Amino acid sequence: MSQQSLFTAGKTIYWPAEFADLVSMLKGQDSLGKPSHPALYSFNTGAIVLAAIIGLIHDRERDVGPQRLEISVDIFERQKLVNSSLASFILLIPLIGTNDLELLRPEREDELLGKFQRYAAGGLEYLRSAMSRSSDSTGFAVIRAEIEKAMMATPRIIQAARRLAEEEEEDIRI
Amino acid sequence: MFLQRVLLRNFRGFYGDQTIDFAPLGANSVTVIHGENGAGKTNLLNAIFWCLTGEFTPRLSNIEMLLNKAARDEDKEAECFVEVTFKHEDKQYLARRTVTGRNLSSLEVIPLDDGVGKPFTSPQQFLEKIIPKGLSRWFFFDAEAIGELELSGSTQFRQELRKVLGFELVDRLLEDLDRCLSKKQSSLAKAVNSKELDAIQEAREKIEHVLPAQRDKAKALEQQLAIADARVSKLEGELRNLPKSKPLQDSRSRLEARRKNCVTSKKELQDRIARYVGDSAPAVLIASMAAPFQDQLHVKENSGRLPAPFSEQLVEDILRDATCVCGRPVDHGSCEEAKIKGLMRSASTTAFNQRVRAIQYLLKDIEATRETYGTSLADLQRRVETNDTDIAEIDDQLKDIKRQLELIDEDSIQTLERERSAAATEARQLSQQLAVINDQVTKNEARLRDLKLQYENTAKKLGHGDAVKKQIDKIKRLSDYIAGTLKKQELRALNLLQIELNRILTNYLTKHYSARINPRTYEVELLDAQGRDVGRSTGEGQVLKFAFITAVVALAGRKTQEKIEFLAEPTVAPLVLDAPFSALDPEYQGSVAENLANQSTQLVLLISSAAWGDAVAAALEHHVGKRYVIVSRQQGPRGNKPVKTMRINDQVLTLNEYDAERDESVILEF
Repeated sequence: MSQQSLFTAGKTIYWPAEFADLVSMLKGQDSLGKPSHPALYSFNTGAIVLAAIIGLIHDRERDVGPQRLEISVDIFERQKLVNSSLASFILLIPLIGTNDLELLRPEREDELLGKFQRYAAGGLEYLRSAMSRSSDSTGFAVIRAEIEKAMMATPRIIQAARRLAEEEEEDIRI
Repeated sequence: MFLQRVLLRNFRGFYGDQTIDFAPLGANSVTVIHGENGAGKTNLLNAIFWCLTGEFTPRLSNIEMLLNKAARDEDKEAECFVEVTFKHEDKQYLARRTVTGRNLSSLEVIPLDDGVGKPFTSPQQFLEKIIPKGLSRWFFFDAEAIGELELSGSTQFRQELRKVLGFELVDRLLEDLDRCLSKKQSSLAKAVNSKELDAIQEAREKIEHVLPAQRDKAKALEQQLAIADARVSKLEGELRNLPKSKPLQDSRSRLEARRKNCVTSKKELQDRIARYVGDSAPAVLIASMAAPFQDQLHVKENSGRLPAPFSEQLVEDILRDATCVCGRPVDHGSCEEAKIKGLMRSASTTAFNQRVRAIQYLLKDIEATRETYGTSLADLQRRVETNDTDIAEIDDQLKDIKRQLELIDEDSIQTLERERSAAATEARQLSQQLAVINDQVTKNEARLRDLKLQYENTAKKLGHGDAVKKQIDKIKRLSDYIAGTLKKQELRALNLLQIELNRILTNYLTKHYSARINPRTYEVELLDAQGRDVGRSTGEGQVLKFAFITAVVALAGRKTQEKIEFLAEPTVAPLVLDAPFSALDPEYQGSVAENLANQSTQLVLLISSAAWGDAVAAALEHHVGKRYVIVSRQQGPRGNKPVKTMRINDQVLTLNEYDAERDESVILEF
């Protein structure tokens, strides 16, 4: 895969500062930054991508707000999931959310990043609420439960997607 | 502070009056006090520590029984006190702490210059000015328990180190400012009459009300836990010294070491599971939503592709030169230019295709991750279960050892085992309580920060331009300034401590190891030449702990090149170490001993014959100004019991005697 950057140089992802503790929690740290429990992620990037996905699947979006923290997009590009960089999720999540492939065009980059940020902020808010209700404040149980739900739901969604695709093909033929 | 003399009267194992005159300052300022295990070295260290602070080191047991038993049997009104004569800033003082009841004592500090002066009205405060409370345990150190010195960044360790670095006052100032801010914000909430602000403020005040008590509770529990842990290891040491219980205690130690390994690998596996779940979560969660995009992307990538050999560059050249490849003009603003630009908007450009391909790769990775997720996770969980089974088996074996120990027909063993069991249960309970309270503190701290942010956002939305806002801004600016300056000073101080620590380590170690202090957690790591963590449980890790004590003492005495602004007045005090070196690998004992003598203003070593090896003797002998021996005297005939001796400078010291009038420890000058 090409090592060329997927984004314009200097682009940044912003996320609400009010969730700094939650992100630390996902990184296995207590409020002092001291390791306190098994970490789901080593870096903020992993937690932000997860949050954006949570925002996407629960259809939660919100503004980042004035109190914000930032991560350079380069950092997402340097970190990987299997062979892909985490930056690919910055492309995929808004794409799924809008179903608009044209969002991948360079001239719409800010719109794409903005959409990702809104999902991340919404997802963080959702996670905070879910974690406060959970007996496990580390986020592990909440994420496991989300995964369980996703695994159970997969066959139905795939069936629905296939049905939709078939219907579309039918429409084209007509 | 420079110790001149200590007098013990009927203090624990010491009957009647026992005196030590410490070596004077100068080239031979080291005082060595030899004594075997159980002779009273820890009692002597605690006598001085108790006299000056009113506290004991964690390993000391039965702290409520200070009056010597034989003295009490002879006279119920017998006196028990410790008197320390010391010099501070060229003035001489006498501190006397007397037992006045169970767990009660009184302290007197009297200036001795120009005859006996009037006792101070606040003697403890006077002593704490000389050696601040947080520092005293570094200067009077039970090095036998050095293994328990926690360098992994516990809350207590961090708090103590902050005291050493002089940040306690600034921390308190910041807390006070925070309280001021909270009060002002409360008045603001009332002034603007906002229910939303009121609710946030009320929630905040509730947490601010309980949080200090929770923090204090956590601190107290940590201290109690350290004491309980020290007591367990002391009692286990005593069981190991008795012939009948030794094999069982040794097995227990081995099993506990195995259990510890199992618990460590369980923790590692849990870490791996968490990391695996975290890494897989994005893929597994998004898999079903992402799958339908595979085909769409493929279609999109091909549909708008510019045919080879043409490229984006060619199109850009046409637009720039305003001429087509066929020679027709493509003028700016013409319909031809508009047509080309329109086509380009839907064409698959390089950047667009690169993104499409990145997503296609990602979709493949997502699918692969999703497919293997279930089996990989199950595999990791099976390994945790195997580990749990191993732990359960070890626990059964440990229970069996406990039963066997309880069945040994020897009162002393049964008593020790009972006490060990009770102490271990207490330690377990304390540990659980600590985990609960720490969790509460963490949650409340997070909630508090969250509420503060919520408050600021809401207040901003409401808008307020009155005097209260100005005051709030003022406090915030001051608070931010102090916090910022403190942070800088903290980093500077930790850096100095790290430099000092590494300077000492260079003298101690033959290997190229260095230490690193984590500025966030204060965890002290030992790193090899490649920067890898070598752990603190190694022989070098033990050396790190000795080096750390010396570095702290040096920093407290400002024996560093640079100064730290917030650091309180320098603390120059004696370093009194109980039974050092026995915890160290023999190869390091000489260098550590030499360094301790060089680093401290006054050094008092309480040491067993086993720990006084050739290397230590060679390193220290030329520093020794005074030497004492604590002789352990036992009632009753010797029988087959051994008489222990040690040879110093061709003279033989007898360390224990039999047929004595009473069981007692006696301090003799040698």
